[in-house]
Amino acid sequence: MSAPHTHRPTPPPVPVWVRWTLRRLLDERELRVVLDELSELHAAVADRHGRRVADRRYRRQLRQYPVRLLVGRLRAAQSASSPGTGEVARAARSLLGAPALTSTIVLTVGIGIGGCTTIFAMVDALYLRPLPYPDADRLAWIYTDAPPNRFPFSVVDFQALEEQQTTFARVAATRSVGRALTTSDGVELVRVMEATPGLLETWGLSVVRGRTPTDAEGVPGSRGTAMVTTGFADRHLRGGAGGALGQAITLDGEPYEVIGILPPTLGPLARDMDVVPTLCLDPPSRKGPFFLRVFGRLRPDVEPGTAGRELRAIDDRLFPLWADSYQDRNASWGLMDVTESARGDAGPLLGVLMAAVGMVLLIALSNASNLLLARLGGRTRELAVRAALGASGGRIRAHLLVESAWLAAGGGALGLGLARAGVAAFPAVAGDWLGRAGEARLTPHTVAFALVLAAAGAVLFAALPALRSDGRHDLAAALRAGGRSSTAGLSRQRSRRFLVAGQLAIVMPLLAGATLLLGTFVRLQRMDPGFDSDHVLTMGVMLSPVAYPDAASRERFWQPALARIESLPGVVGAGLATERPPDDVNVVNNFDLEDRPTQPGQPERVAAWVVVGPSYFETMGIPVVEGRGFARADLDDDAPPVVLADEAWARRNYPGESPIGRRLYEGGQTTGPRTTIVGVVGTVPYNGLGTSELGAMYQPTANRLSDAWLMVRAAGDPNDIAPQVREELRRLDPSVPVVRPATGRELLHDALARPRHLSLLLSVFSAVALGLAVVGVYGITAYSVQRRRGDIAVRLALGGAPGEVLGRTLWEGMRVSLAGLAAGLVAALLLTGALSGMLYGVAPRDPASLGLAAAVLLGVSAAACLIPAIGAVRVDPASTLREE
Amino acid sequence: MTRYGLGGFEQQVLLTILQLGGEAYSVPMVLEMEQRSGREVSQAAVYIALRRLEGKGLVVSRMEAAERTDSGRERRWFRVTPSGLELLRDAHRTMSRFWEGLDGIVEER
Repeated sequence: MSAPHTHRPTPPPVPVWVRWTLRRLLDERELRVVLDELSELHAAVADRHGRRVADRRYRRQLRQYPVRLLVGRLRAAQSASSPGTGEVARAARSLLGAPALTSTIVLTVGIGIGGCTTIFAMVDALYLRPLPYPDADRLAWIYTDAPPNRFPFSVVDFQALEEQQTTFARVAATRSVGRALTTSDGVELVRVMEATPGLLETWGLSVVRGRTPTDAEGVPGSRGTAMVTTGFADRHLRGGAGGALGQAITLDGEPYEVIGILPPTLGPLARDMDVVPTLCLDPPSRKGPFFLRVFGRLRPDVEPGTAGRELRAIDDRLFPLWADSYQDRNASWGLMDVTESARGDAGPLLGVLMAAVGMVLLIALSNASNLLLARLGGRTRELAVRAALGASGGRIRAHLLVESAWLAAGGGALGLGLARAGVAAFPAVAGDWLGRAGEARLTPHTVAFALVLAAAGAVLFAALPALRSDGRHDLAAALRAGGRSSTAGLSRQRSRRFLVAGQLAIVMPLLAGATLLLGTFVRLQRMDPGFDSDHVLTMGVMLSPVAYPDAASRERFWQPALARIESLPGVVGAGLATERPPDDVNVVNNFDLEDRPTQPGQPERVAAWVVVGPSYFETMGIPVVEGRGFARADLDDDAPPVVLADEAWARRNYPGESPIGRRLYEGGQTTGPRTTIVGVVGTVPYNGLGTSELGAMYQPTANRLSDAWLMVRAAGDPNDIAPQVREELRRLDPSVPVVRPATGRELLHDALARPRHLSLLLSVFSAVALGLAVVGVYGITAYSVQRRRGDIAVRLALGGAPGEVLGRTLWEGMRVSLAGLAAGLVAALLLTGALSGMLYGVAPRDPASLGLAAAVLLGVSAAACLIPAIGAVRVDPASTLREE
Repeated sequence: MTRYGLGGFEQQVLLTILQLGGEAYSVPMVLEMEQRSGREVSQAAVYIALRRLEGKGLVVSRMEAAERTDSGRERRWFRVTPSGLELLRDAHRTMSRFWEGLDGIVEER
């Protein structure tokens, strides 16, 4: 024994799980002795072999204690053969003795639980977890309310709100825009959220360093200021976040002083935003345009309803002041809880996904129940012998329940593992169409949800077999029947048929949903996008207002740029536009037709509003179908304003008539010259594929846009010309950022991400579900053939036609399928309505799609019945009867 | 008492207590066993073995309060009971009978 130490080395900390386990295995004093003796050994080993060896050994020993204690305890329990633990161990052994059954159940139930938990993690993120803003329920989004649409605010609106409102503690306006950030490596595009000075105060957040902007810094003409995230500071500023304050960043050529460091996340209201420049709003000359996202924090004593009334009152006072530039009397102001607004349109999507995975889980559970029932049938003798040897009915039922608990625990553990992977993979799969997919986490809520599912599953799939095993195990009958055709066997068979029909009834709506979504996807993919997607290359080009302050300077960039690009080999033409099909629309404008004025109380008509340069239509391959295209003369300063409409617009606003020569006021104005429609062009979607009903209007402009989509038409593959096009732009001005380049095909591919992923997910779910259910169909048919072997043999021996035997056996399985199908059709008709917002070109109860789903279901189950039916025909009467 | 065969490790544990003067606690036992066996001995294994032996009445233990130990920590001291001693002798006699006449093999090593 070593001498006492005055200074002992402190051993490494005890891991939480070790302490937790040991507390449960040892009493307090015993635990103290164990830990004391461990650290004494640590000191002794450190003395002899050094600190590192001692630490390693200490940690190893810490892990060994709980494990060895548990093993010892289990051994003791087993040798003492207490009934409780004995049953647990016996059930585990009995399951391990049937590995195929056990792994099938654990796997299918695990997949079901994993799927449900993954989707639930998303539901949790969107609906249960509070937003990362203190008192988020006091935080509102304030908008222009023009049912059914909600529009942003204009500068006029926001300034009036700020001046007159009394119900909010603070209001702030934001606008998300792309800005060219000048760095030492060149120019890159960053998404920034410009905000008026009160934004962080409104959201209830604070800077981690520095300060927020003062009100004076939000006045036009004041020095530019900005707040940035730590990540941005570390990437772009000398000294990182610590030294960022006071440095300048250059956005669109203008300097902004960094005055504050933002918290690590700004939450879902400003996802992926790294820079918040202070927004200075110039005094407006007209009511529009509407581009400000406005937030307000309600005063503690104010009800949202009160605030809503005040908002409408302010709007009523404001309206007459700007009546000459804005006439949409129907629109007012409204407010909405940010928690709700941050959910966007995710609700129906999540509902459909949750229902789909829930159905898969239900089928997995009933499948497990079915398998356990079948096993019970095979164990009639074993259980009867056990009953005869003195096991009570309760004891046998307990045994079955414990088995189910083990299976559910296995399924739950696997499900949690899968959910972990699912949650990690979710943003990659769904990020394109479910904006906040990245927020899904395995929180305590989510884990609890998975555990509840597993527990409910255990009860569900154990209930039927346990009830069926009612303890009346007649040994003699069971032995006589040899495990076949006893009364208990028949009722078990009835339960199994019922379960399988139920599974098919659940599969049917899933299959119908998958068919409808696949149909939607195929239709969208086959849809003519209205432009020549095979040959078009597009990219965003941003001219900074500092380097290109006016139209003349921008034209000096664009004229040579377009000329050079058009002269490149392989390039057919080039043009500019403010919007990009199929879903990059920024401006939806309202207008009033001269011969069909908006009725009082009605909202004004709206359409996608695209400003295009000369040769846009030729470049995109959009045909002029009526009237004329734009002419050079349309661009003259004193030329009367003209627009082109697309066919969808014409159909919507002048059904059965020609819109040529009709006149309109655009943007809610009633003064100034009216705009004339001079031609109609082919329909191109700007609001997303399959959503072109609104129609689009085109307004001509010279090649002098500051933020433009450059469209280039290639003779061959547009990918081949992309590098040269970018090189030409770079040669003209290397500081001009080029963003989001994409060929027409890529644009269409990206626009289809949501229908593609949705239809794929539902197809996979329904395939898994169908597979499970069909195994059930096969199981009952095969069992019935097995049971009726003797019967069949007699029939065949007496000259019965094999066709009749085949038909009878097929019918045995198919009547279950038909019953399931009938119930499933009803369920499908009730449920597919939930998909209506996700479908295109096909109705939720489309007979062809439902028919196809039904045909797949019947076809696959017929195939599953056919295998045992053929086996029935092949029964050899002679040998079968000899066995009997 | 039913007849109980001692495992090899249990014999080592009991013999170590005797080697350390008839009463010992886990830390010096582990060190002693390591010295004699020439390999690392798990303290957890020694502890579990002692508890098991105590359960069978082959050792008895007493707690020593923290104030009285030189390290200021609590210890559990173990002694071999007469029946433990009896089993050890038994085991030794059995093993000796197996080794009878085989001394040459040991010498060679």
